[in-house]
Parts: sequence; structure tokens; C-alpha cells
Amino acid sequence: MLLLRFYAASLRQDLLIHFQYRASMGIWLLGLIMEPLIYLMVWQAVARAQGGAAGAYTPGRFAAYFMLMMVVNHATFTWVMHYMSYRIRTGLLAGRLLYPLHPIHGDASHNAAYKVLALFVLIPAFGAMAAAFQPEFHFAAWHAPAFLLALGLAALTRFLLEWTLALAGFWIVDTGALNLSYMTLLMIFSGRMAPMDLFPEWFATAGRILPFRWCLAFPVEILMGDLTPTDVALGCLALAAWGLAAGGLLTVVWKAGVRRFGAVGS
Amino acid sequence: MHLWRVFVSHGRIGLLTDLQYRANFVNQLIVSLLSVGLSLGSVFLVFRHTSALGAWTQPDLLLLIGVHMAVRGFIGLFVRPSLHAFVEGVRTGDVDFVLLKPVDSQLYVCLQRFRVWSLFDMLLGAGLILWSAVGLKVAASPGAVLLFLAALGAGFAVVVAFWFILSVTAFWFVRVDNVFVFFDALFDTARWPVTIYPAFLRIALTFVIPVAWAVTMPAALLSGHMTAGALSLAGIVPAGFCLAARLCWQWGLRRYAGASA
Repeated sequence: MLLLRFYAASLRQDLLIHFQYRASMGIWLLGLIMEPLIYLMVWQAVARAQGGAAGAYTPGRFAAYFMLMMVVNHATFTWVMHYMSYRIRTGLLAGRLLYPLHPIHGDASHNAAYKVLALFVLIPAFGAMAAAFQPEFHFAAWHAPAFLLALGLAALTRFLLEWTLALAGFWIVDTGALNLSYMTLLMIFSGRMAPMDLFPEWFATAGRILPFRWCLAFPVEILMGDLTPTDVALGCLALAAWGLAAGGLLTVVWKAGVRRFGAVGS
Repeated sequence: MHLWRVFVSHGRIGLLTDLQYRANFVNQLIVSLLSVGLSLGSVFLVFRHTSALGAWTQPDLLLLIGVHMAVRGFIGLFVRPSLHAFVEGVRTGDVDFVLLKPVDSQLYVCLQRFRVWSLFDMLLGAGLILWSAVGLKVAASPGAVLLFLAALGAGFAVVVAFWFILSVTAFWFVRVDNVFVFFDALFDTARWPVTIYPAFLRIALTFVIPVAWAVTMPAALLSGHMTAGALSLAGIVPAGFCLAARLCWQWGLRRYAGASA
């Protein structure tokens, strides 16, 4: 109950905070739009060079895939690892530790508020891409609830994973290289560079074991109409398992980290 | 000569500053290797499914990635840190001190900070260029190499001029750190030849946000995809950007009031 009231108040406040920086927000979103847009155009060029399709993908299917990937990446991305180490290094975290609430809740609300406001940029971008690249969707009614469930699980899992990774700041001063290593793994195994079936077979197998594909490509594949209901159920189970594992790891690492925390600057 | 000594000493200060943080060496090396690895990976993935992107083959694209890395390293070496310090200086009033120095203020602003770790990117890029040029068997003619180096120089100039114009907007808008994010987002388009993009984007990347000159042109020259018309523009457009940067600087300076004045 207390938590609900916290989220209601905090979301309202975070919306106002983000709204103050709407111009910066637009520029930051450009990065999020350019990446799928570039891969969309590259793969469309490949499909055309191959006389109309690469693998099972025509230019229209590529457009649909990368437009959906933009949405899923937006819905699930976090930036916590970029400021957690700063927060730890400068001692800013000390103040947060005095709250009678885990600091993860404040970050979750901050993240969610941003996502909602960003829709005002993302929806027009989606519309413009639809007009420019003629995406080819194969929708069925059951895809919508399945997609929403998968997206919710994916956002939660990715948030927990990246929040845990950000805690490395308790042990390492400069987390830049670690963060980039994670981003690289995410980039290649999540399907952000290309649909998973365009990768070599051994690669796709590794992708099914790691959490990245489940967090990004899986919700996209649901709306692409590539999956059967059984596939969807299995994918949601995989996501739930990764989410639980990440949550457990987070609890352990957080406890150990706070014990190490020197509260510099307080 | 005098100017040269000023910049050499700034370079030395940058070197000494970065060398204080020696553990960073490993970190930055990992960062450079990962980003080149990711770029190469995406090229190999694309060429599993096609033998050419427009007129560009896989060795051509590796060359392009090399040029992209080199330009990125060049930006990171002094363009980004210097102009970051400049933008900050407009806010705090530190630009006062630049204007008082008896050197050309625009050049000084562009060359005031150095981050030596970016040399990794430049070296990796140069290595990739060399390796793919040998594979493409273009290195035989010294004329082609000279032309490539000239195009690369023009590309560097255009990038500095463009970054500079972006940062000069600080005189009007003060908080412009985010325009650098804007550049990074667009610079990623240069990892692929601009010829594969739809016309509107290709034109924008050539004449408005000139990343095409910096990366596609030098690579196209060395791999033989350059048309004569584009080659003549390759001298004019970078020169135009440099001139525009100079004019923007003089115009912007008139707006600058200093922080304490």
C-alpha cells in the first residue's frame, strides 16, 4: 500500500522532472531511433541486392522487424549503469540509504516516467518509418495480449539485470569497460543487429540460453507472427526464470555492496 | 611556429594527465577492441547473406570501418575534449582566458585538450585500412595513396568544422552538451556507405551533416567507387564548412559577454 502511494507520487514528480528537459530528451531519443533505422536500411539494401529477400525476410518484413525492435528496445532500456557508479563514488547514495525504501523503486519510477513521455516522440517516429519503408505486419488478435505480457516481463528482467550489473560500481571505480562489454553482448545476442535466424546456427543456440534474446527479439517475434502459442509460453517462462535469477542475484549483490560502501563525501 | 609549440605543450599536458591513470590503459583498450569487433561482426553478418551492398564488397566495407575508426579516434583525441571544455567555458566564463591569449582563439579552442587513449582507435583504424588496402591491391600506386590521404585530411577538417559549428551554438543556448550526443547518433550512419541509404538521408549526410565526406569519401576513393563529380566536390564542400565555422565563430563571439562582465 505504501509502495503504491510512493509510485503514484514519484511518477507524477518524475514526469515533471523529465518534462523540464524535453529538448535534451528529444536528442537522446535520436540515438534510440537511429540504431534500428540504420540496420533497417542496411538489411533492406541486402534484401534488394539478393533480388528481394535475405533468408525469410523481404524489405517489408525487415522494416516491420526493426520498427518493432525500436519499440521493444525503448520499452526495456535502462541507463542506471551510467549513473550508479557516479552515485557510489561521490557518496550520493548515502542519502538514498536513509529512505525507508529500497533505492531501486525510485529508479524504476524515474525510468517508467521517461518511457511514457518519450512516446510523444516515438509514436510519430514509428508513423514516419511506416510511411517511408512500407512495413509488412502479420497480426492476429492473440498477439496483442501475448506481446504485452512478454514486454512487461522483458522490461522487468532487463531492469533487474542492468541494476545488478550497475552495482559493480561498489567494487570498481571506472565501470566504463564493463558496461561496454555488457552492451556488446546485448547488441549481438539480442537481435538488435539482425533477426536471430540470420545468424549462424550455433550463435542462435547461444542466444536462446542467454537472457538478451528473450528481453528484446522475443517480444518482437511475437508481433511479427513468427511464433506459435507454445513458443510464446516457453519464452515467457524463460523470461520469468531469468527475472527471478536476476532478482535473487540483485538481493545478494546489493547486501554485499552496501556493506562495502564507504559513503565518500558524506 | 609559435602556434605549433603551444599545441605541442598542450598535447604533452594531455599525455601526462592520461598517464596518471594507468589502469585506464586496459579499460580503453577493451573499449576500442569491442567497438571495432562489433563493427566487423556486423559487416561479416551482412555479407553472409549477400556478396555486395550496391557496388561495395566485403573488403571495401572493412576499409570503410577502418576509416570510421580512424575518424572516431581523431574526434576523441582532441575535437571532443577541447570543444567540451569550450562549451563549459562559455557557461563558466573561462572563455575569457582564451580570448586574452595571444594566439588565434578559434584554433586554440579546438586544440586545448587532448585525450591520448583515443590513439588506440586511430591505430586500430589505420591498421584496418592498411590491411584491407593490401587485400584490395590498391596500395601499388603512390598517387592513389596520396589522394586517399588528402581526402582523409579533408574529412578530418569537415568533422572539426562541423563539431565546431555545433559547439558555437553555446553562445546562444549555453547548455549544448547534448548536441554532441546528436552527432554521435548520426555518426553511426557512417559505418555503412551512404550510397545504400534513401536519397533524402544521403543528401542530408553529404551536405547538412557532412559525415559522408569524413568516412565514405576516403574509403570510396581507395576502393575505386569514386566518381569524378564527387571528387571535385570533395575539395569544395570541406572548404565551405571550414569557412562557415570561421564565420560562425566571429558572429558568435559578438554574442559572448563573459561570465563576470
